[in-house]
Amino acid sequence: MKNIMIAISSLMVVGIAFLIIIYESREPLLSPEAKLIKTPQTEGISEPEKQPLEAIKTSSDLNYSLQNNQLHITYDNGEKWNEVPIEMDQLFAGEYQGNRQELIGGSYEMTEELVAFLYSEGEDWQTQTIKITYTEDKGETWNESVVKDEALAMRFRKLNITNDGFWTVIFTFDRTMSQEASAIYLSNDQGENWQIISTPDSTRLVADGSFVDQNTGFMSYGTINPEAPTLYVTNDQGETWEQAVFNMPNKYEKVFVIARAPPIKEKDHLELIMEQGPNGDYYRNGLIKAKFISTDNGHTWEFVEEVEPENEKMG
Amino acid sequence: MKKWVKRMGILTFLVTLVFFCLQVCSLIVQYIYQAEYIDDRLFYLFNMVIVTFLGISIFLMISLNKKFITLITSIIVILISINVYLMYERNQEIKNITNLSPNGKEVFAIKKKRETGEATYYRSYFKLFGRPHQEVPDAIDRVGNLKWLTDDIAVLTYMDKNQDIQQFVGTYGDRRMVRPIIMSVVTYAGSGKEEIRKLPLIRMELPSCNRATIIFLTGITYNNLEH
Repeated sequence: MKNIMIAISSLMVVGIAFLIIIYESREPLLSPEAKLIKTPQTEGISEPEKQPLEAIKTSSDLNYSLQNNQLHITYDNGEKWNEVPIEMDQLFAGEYQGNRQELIGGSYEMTEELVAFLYSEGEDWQTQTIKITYTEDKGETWNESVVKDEALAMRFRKLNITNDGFWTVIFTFDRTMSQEASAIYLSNDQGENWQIISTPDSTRLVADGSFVDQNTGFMSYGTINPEAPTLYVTNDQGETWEQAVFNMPNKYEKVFVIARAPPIKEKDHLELIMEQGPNGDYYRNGLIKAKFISTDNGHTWEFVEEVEPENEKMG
Repeated sequence: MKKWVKRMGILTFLVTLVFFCLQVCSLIVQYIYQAEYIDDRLFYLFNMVIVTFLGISIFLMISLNKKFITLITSIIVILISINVYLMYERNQEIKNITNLSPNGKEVFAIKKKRETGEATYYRSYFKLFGRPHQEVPDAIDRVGNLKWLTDDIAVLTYMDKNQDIQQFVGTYGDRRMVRPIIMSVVTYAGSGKEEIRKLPLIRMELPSCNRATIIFLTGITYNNLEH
């Protein structure tokens, strides 16, 4: 009994010594609020850890990621990632006010056969080189194509590759308030040579633009308080542009005001989606859209139906 | 050995064991539940209780020669001295503001860093442990009155670094759903009560703050400062 008690007492004395050492060397507890404040500071000091890449879905089967400050693409839902040799700053150069969580809409094309990114390069915003970097062998090799040297920083940008291998780049630049210049470049030889074509006679802000085939292209204008859609169409590769006519039912006057290219080319007609614009408040907080069709290559458009955003197949 | 002496010896030894287990638990709880003693001084106090009761139980249950008595007494004195020193040091670093509610069911606890005045409000668990719940806005310069308005609302009045009087309200029981709120009296420029009688500003709103609530809390401010 005596020995047992002495043994337990000795253990307890040693135990207390250990407890004191542990207690004194512990990390102070933090409230949830203090943890939040402390986290960014420590992150700033240490080297940021590389995160496992998470795919951002696109409309095609291919996905991309912008994590770890680098653009990667995957053909197999993230099993294997290919690094794209473009710097993040180049992808978002120009007039861009997003959070860099996703690529700028229209600045890329992703299909199984061809992946291409439109971006601008250059230290000075007044002498940018507008380029396309693309791969045709699933990211094994990358090619560069210069669309334009010594360009101004882009605002709106759109890379469009038609099914018949016809490439177009539409971009706007030099914006002052609600006016800006626009340019359209075409290539028939997969980016080898680029040729500038004329644009519609308008300096309003471009809402969208695209070509459905080698000859037929559209430019949609008006992003700030438009009252009616302004869509220009060409059927001769930009030689001449004409303003398209919309046969709008009365109840939709001043409701659907921005035509979103690209129109979809169906068998015997073209289809496009019209939006309500930034001030739209017609049904579902301006989210509902309208479908129009044209049977004369985009010159006149007829209203077909309202389109729920979730049922939208195009645009 | 007399029977009562033996019983006392066993009793003190059991008390020692209970406190020792509590100390071990306190560290386990910290790692698992991010909780610690509601008052940092309790750790050192319990160590001293363990050492003292252990010594008493040994003296009561075991007949020792003079040499052993000296040795054990020395160990007890050394361990208690170490704990007193560490408790003093800790107290120089962290000021514990703890107060038991009138009905003895809740503990209001704030731990304040003496150097910076930064303070953390703790939610109490089993009256003995607490988890850091919220940072007290405005570093505390001087701690004023702590008053329980009811059994589940405590108000701490303090002066911040700008010498403005602030109040921190801790809520308990069913009122836990209501976040603790901070009230601020307009700048405390002088010592006259008239200057303090200005309307307090609600710095953080209650989730469902209505007029009645605001008036009620305004009353708290006056009441606390006048007494």
